[in-house]
Amino acid sequence: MRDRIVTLVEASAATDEKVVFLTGDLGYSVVEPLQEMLGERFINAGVAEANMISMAGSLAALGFKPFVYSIGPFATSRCFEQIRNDIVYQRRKVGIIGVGSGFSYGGLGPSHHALEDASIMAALPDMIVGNPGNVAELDRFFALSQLTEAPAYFRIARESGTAYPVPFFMLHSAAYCVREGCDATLVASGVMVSECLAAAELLAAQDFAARVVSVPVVAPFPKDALARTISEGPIVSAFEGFPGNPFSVGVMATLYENRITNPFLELTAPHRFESVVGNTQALRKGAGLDAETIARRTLELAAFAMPLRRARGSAA
Amino acid sequence: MTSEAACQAARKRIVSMSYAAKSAHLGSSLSVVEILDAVLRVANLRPENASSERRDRIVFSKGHAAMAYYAALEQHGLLPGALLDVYLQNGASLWGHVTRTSAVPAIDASSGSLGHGLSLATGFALGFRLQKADELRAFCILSDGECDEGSTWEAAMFAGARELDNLTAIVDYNHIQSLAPTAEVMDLEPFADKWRAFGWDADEVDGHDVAELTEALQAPRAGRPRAILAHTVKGKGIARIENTVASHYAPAQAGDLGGSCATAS
Repeated sequence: MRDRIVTLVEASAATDEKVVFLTGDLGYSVVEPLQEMLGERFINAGVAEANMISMAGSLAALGFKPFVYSIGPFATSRCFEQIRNDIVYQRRKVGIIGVGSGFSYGGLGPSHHALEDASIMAALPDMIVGNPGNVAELDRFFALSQLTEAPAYFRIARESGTAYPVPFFMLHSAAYCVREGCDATLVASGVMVSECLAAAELLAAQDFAARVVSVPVVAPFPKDALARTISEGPIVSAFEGFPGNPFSVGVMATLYENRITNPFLELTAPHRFESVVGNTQALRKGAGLDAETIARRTLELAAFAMPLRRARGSAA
Repeated sequence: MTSEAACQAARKRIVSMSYAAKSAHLGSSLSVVEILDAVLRVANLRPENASSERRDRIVFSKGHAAMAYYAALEQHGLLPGALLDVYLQNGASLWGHVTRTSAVPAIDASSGSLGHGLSLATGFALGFRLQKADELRAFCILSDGECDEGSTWEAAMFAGARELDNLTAIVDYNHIQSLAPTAEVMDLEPFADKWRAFGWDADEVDGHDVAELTEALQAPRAGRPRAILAHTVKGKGIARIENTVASHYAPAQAGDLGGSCATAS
């Protein structure tokens, strides 16, 4: 998906001379075609993210359409106050591209894991936060981001994601079913959609039909659209980020506000920096965010919930 | 209006705003009065082009000295005085740190957290270059204290490397930061040499001498950004607070409203 977002910026720049691209000295083997095409509108701002963000704010003030690019934590937490004051507070439209969502950068370690990036970006008013799960979702979110005056954060995984079908969606309708099922609902965002689809496949082998819902935009959170997708049976939400992230909170608010009282389980990355080395898959498995664990915990929740439901039914 | 008269009127306005609103940052405001007057005389920013895209940009990075900036803009016809009559009253449009507002199109950047302004101004200078708007300039007015911030030097390094000679930084070097003299905190010296090492030209001037400031601001471009270290007196114009740390915090008193402000120059 890293390549794809660069391609999208490239396509945008081909028809719009206001597009400028700033990188914090990252993007080796990905950004070179963009550099060639943009010429002086490609700016390597050096390993100086704070300055890069503020400069992008002023470029937006002059009518340019800036995109800034770095690895997730460096594009967000490193320069958070510059994003807060010089982009959001001053109402400057800048696209912030953070590559390596969640555990994408695996063995590079917790300095490179992006687990709180969605939380801090969504904490800012007006900021729209896209967490696409495959290339089609990225394409659509990118297009949507160009239709608004709001700044956007692109939370980009290294993997391209399963090629599930993506409907035409708007910001407010960015929650939809990507696999039908009526025994449970797995709600996910970003790379977790692919894990949930794999989990649903495992569950199907056990004659358990799990619906999978994708939410590619986590701020503003599409509560109404999500509420319409919920099936009978237990609900499991999965997000590759720390607890308190805008996706998990959005799912819970949606359920509560709509009086949806199905049994519910929230899956997130554990609230810690990992101390044992692992690649992306190992870290995901350790966090309980792999397909096998999602499938197992869904069944456990369903088994736990069934007697409860019967008891409630008989009491009524 | 002469510089002297404009600066005297701005000081009176600052003191009355600080007194009426019980506002802090009086000392930081009084030190930067002549710097602001000189920048507003040199910059291509006038009431008639304030809403235009094609004009110079000014970033007032030491946003805590908002009273001085607002008062200077008023003196140059760029901010309606009525906004200052209600300064910091509930419901008013100008905060205690510099605020961009549609009511004052001359204000190019909100500020308040230190260390952002030079990057914002560098962004404007870079944008002018991309636009091939060679006649346009970006000015940034910084406090000495915010030169402690790493981001200030990120911007300095970028602007120096890119040879952004349409960028001018003016440091209000009053030698006292929020809690102590600058020499005691991180010691900025050798200050001019730091800027030069980052690829800038650097001048040191009397920051209360508008003629000297103006000359430095109008120096011909030389392929490098320019830093003007303007030596000033914190609290300039009110003898009882000049050169004190306390002037960063204590608002003006009734006795300050008299003629003491005319002593500046």
